[in-house]
Amino acid sequence: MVKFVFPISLWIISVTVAVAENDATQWLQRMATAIKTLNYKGTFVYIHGRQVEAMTIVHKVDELGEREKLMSLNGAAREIIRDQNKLICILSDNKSVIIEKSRARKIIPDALLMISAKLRKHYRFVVIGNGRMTGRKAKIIAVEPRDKYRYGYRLWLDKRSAMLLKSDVINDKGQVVEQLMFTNLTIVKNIDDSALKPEVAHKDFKVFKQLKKARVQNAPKAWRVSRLPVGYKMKMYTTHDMRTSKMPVDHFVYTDGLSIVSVYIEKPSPDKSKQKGENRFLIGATSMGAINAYGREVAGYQITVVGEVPKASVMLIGRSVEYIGSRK
Amino acid sequence: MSNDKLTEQLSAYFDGELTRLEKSLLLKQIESDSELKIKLGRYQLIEDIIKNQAPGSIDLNFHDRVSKQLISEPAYSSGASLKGVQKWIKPVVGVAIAASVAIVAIVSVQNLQYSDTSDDGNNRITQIENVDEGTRWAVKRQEVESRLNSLLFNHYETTSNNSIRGMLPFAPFVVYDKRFKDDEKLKRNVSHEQFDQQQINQNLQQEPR
Repeated sequence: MVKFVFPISLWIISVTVAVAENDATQWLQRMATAIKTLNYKGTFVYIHGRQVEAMTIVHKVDELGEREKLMSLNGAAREIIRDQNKLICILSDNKSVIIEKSRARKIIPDALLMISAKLRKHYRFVVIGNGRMTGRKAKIIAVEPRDKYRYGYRLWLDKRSAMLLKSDVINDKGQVVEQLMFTNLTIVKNIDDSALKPEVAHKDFKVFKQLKKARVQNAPKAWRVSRLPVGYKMKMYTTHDMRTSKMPVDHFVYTDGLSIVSVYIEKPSPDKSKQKGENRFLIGATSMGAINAYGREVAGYQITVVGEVPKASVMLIGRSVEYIGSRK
Repeated sequence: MSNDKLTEQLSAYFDGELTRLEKSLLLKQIESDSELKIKLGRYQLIEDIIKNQAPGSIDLNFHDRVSKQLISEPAYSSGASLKGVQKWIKPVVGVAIAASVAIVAIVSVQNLQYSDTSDDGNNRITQIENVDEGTRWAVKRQEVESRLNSLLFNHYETTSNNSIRGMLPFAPFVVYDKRFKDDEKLKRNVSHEQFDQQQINQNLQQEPR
C-alpha cells in the first residue's frame, strides 16, 4: 500500500500543476482577446530603462477593424495612431508627421490565443494569486521562462474583463527591467471616432511617407543563422525601405512563439567617417530597458539583432550569422 | 483644513502614520474634490511602485527626504483650470512631483549616495538630472542610436501584433524626454526622434503634401 502513496501523490501534484497551468493560460488567452477586442481608454505609467513617463491609450474595434491611439502626457505632444492600413506618428517637437504603411503583421500568429505544448516547453504559466490594481480586483499571472534566452512576465489582469492592468518584464536574475501600469482604465461599449483623431495640431507640419510597402518574400539563401536558442524558429523574411538606409534592409524574424527577435542585414553605403575608424553602426551589445541589441559586421554587411529578449539571445543569434554566398 | 495641515496629513498618510479615524477623515476631505483625488491616486500608485514593485534596489529614505524637501519648497504653479482648487492642489502637486522625481532617481541612479546635509531640494533635483545619463541606448554616436531606434520601431511595427501588450510596445516612441532638450551636456543623447528627423531630411525625399 505504502508503495502506491508516492506515485499517487506525485500524480496528484502533477494534475494540480496542470490545472493551475490551464487556468493561467486561459487567463492569458482572455487577456490577448481583451486587449484586441475591447473598447477602452486609459492612462498608464511606463517605466522603461531609466525613464518614467505617463501616456494615454484609446483602443476601438468596429467594422473597420482595430484602431488605436497612443499619446504622451508630458513634454512635447507626441501621438501614434494606428489602423489596419497605416501607422501615423505626429511629433510636435519636430513639427513632423510620419506615415508608414502597415506591415505584414498577421504573419506571426498570436501565441497567447493558443498556447501550444511547444510554448510550454519554454515557459511555465502560473496563476500567482489575487491582488488589486488600478482600483480593480486583479488576477496575477506569471510567465516563467525555463532558460536564460527569454524574459519572464508578471501580469495583473482585471478579473472582470481580463484586460491587462500592469505588466513587469523580469530578467533571469529576477529583476524587473520594464514596467507598465495603468493608472486609470475605462472599458466602454463604444468609443467615438473623434477620440481617435489626432489631438496635436499639425497643420503646418512636414509630412513624410514611407515610399514602398515591405515585401514579404522567401528568405535568401545567402545568409544562415547557425545557432538559435532552443525553440526559436524563423517565421518571416521581408525587405524594408528604411529611413536610415539607402539600400533595402533584409529583415529576418525569429520567435519561440512569444519572444521575438529581429535580425537586420544591410549593406552600408560608403562613408567618410568610417575611414576615421568610427562606426556608424552598432558593434557589440547594448540595451534600453528590456530591449537588447547586438551588432557586428559580416562580409561587408552590417548585422543588427534586436528584440525584447535577454542579452544572451541577441548575442547567441548575432554571433552565429554567417554569409554563405549569394545563391539566391 | 489649511494648506500646511493638509500637507502634513498627506505626508503622514503616505508614511502610514495615520490612525484609521484620521485616515477616513482625511479621505472624506479629499473625496469631495475630484481633481485632487486623481492627483492622489497617481501619487498612491507611484508610492506603490516605490514600496513594492520598483525595479532594482530601493532607497525609501531617499524618496522620503525628497518628498519632504519638495513639499517645503514654493508650490508649483497650477493651470488656470485648477484655480478653484489651487490652494488644495499645490502641496499635493509637490508631493506627486517629489514622488516622480524620486522614482526616476530610484530607477536610474540606484547606487547614488546623497548626503543628508547642506544641499537643498533644488540641488538635489539638478544632481539627479546630471547623473541620469544614458537614458536610451548606451551607445556613443547619435547616428548609431538613431539607426537602432529606426530598427526597433520597425521590429515592433512588424511584430507587435504578437506582443504580450498590444500596442503598448510603442510607448518608447511616444516618450518625450525634456532633459534632452534642456541640458546641453546631454545633447549627445538627443532623443531618437529629434535625430531621426535629421536622418529623414538626409535620406528621404520629402513628398508633396
